[in-house]
Amino acid sequence: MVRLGLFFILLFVSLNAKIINFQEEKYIEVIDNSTLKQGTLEFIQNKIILKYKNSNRVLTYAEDILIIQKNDEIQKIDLSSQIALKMVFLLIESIYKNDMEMLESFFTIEKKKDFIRLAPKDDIKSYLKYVEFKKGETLEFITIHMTNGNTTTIRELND
Amino acid sequence: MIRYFNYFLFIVLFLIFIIFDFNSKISTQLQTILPNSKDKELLEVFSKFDSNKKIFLVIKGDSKEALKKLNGIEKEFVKIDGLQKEGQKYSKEFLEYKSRYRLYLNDIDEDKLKNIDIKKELDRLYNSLFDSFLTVDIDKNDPLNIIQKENQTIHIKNGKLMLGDYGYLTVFSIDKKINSLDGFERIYDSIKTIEERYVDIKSFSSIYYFVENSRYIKNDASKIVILATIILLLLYFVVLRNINLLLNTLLTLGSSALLATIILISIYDQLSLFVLVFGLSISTIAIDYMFHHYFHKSYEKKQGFNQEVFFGFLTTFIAFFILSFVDFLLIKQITIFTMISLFCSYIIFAFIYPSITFAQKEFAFHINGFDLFNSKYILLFSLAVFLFALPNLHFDFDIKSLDYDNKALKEKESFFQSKLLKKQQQTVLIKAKIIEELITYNEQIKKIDNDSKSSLDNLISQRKFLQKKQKFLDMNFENFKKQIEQLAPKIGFKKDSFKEAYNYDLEYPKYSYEQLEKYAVEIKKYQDGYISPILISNDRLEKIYSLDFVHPVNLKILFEKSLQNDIDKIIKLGVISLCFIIAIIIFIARSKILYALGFLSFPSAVIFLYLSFIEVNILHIFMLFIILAISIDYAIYSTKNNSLETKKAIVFSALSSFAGFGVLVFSSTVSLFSIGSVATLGIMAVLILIFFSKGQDAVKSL
Repeated sequence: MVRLGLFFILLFVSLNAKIINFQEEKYIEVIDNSTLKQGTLEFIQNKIILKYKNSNRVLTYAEDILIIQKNDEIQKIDLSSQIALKMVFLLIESIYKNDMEMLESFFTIEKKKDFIRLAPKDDIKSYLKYVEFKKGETLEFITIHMTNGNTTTIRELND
Repeated sequence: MIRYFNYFLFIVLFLIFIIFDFNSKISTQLQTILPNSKDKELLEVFSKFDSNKKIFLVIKGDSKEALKKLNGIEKEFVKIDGLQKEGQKYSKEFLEYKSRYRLYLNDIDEDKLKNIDIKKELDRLYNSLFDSFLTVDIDKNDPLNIIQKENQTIHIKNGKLMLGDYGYLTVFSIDKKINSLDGFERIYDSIKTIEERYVDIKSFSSIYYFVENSRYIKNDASKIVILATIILLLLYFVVLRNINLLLNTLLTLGSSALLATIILISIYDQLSLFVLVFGLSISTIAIDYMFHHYFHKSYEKKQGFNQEVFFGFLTTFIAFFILSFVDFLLIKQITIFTMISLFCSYIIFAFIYPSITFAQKEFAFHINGFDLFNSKYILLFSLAVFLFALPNLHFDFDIKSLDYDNKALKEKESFFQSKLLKKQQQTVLIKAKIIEELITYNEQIKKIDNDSKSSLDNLISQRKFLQKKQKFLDMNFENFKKQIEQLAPKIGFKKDSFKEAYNYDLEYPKYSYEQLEKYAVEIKKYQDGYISPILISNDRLEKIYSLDFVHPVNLKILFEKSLQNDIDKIIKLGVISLCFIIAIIIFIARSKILYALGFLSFPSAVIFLYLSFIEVNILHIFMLFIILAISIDYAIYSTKNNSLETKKAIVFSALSSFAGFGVLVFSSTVSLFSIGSVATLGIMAVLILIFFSKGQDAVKSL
């Protein structure tokens, strides 16, 4: 009976979860170079699980806490002290879920011809320059321009 | 024509009151009763700081649904004219300044620095860039991570400020131009209309106290006035059955109070509602002058000058005159009010009323008098009570406790405070002649209370700056910087990536007032200097208050401080006043001295007995003086002429006094209740003396 219950819970969770393959391109200003990585982003209710190819690290973002799991090692980080990273997670989640209301509370939304541009409001401006994204059926891209000169672009990859 | 004197006088004074808008100068704010001093001025300037005009809005829960709901409510809030969401707190200039002077504004990890292997640290940083995910968090000013991070005191979830673990928080600010009660009321009403539609939101602002307390006090005061009027109407309609006397008496008392109010506002520019309510109540003492004349038929047929009433008035007037030399504003204003209104009433009752003429209606009013108490026993009882009560008196001079006890709002305030502040803290002001001095004072306070918080924390004094600069020179920061600049490109970093790191060779930032305003520093020009608020821990208060540049903005402390300065004078003048009263009574009563003293000692004893069981406030003490003032009149009337008419006059005067301030016992405003409770006990004690004491020539039937 317990096994059957667990089976249904797992089935429900997996039906509600969506996994996308993605490519992350980061321009790092201090080395004037870019890095390219691929991985998966798994969206479960109120949770994002991030995995990179060729890496045994699993990153779980939930309730403003980031859990980094590497083999048996688990590290918990409260993102209150890493507001920029927290904002990036929030951006990915809101854009992925088409949560414009959430985006509106932090950004001014400007619709361009082919994409949407988000201009940060209030104190976010101190670390985030602007964000651009395009999303149809799939996430074409999100480009996050930081004030320190770094840029991150995330694209959804077809299988 | 003389018949309409009271109507004429009242209309003239009322027109003056309305035409010159004296009404707008009556304040419901507690600080109005503080003496005019530098501290009071500072308190007024402090109330204009933006930090006092914030509105906190919180929604229960930390779910995204709650956040969305709050975002929707925020939109409704910002539609209210004069209300805006707290947006970007810091300007671009400030962020640039902070980044430039970070080395000076924050402490450095000296232990780490002593044994640092720069190459190893830069290697680690380089590798971490490739290992990073989603974004790269690199601080180009501190690549070796030796500058200590500021403590993150705020809790953020889903990118939104959280109020502890309760729910999401939004802070709104009220337009700088809105400083009046009307403006605050408009915003308050709009917010409450929105709030009514949502069960899971709460809002708080210190402006809510202004609005709610002033509305409550006004409402409470009107209820009391209605009750007092009903009692007076019953007294005159049912017992005295003399409507003309009632109308004239009300007009006389009204005119006296109006005259006193107009003169006081002309002197002080503003008058507290407390002084007004208190003064209005005291004005009704004068009613006994009228009753004494009335029952002795002075208003029916021509009679000689009534010496008892004159002595009664003169003694009360001089007692208040002596007290008016007190510097303490609340007492001073009340005594002046009382002198003016008593003088005006006495003149009218003694010299105008006999010309108007009022016939006395006969009425049957019998009571069986009991000669239960001998004057000696009354004095002995009073003495025993004094001996018991005096050591048991506990004083509470917090004037905030005199205000309406707004429990619901106090609870809401402590709810927000407990979640926003780590420990119990309160605000003080620091004052300095120049900005540099202000920054130094803040650093001085920081040494005493490390948890203190101020917008000045983001500034550095020249002295501290130079000390730090010397320290960086001693630590050979130049060499340290060079090493980073040389090693970084070899490891793989772009040339000049860390050019700005550990930039110690800077000029002292000269802060101008305009610049600090851009830096969101809470600072105001005051007289020939500057002031700024600081939040300090309650457990460090005493030490911080001893610094001469620190000024309290806490009403309790300000009131205690001013009372402390004046207490010796108040006691001295109180004793002189009491000696004068006793001397007058000895002079008038002569052989009936014990009987006369009973009128002073017995009501005081009953009041002291009550006071020994409660926290005694300033109004209890002052009301005691009023009861004494009334009792002097009764003592003089009774000893000079203990006739049936005198007793009638005292009984009706006491009942009228009850209608005047005894009814305040039904108020839930602490200040008014304090007055009412003492007045009721005092009046009851007087009535007990009239009916049950063994007086000379006592008359048993009224």
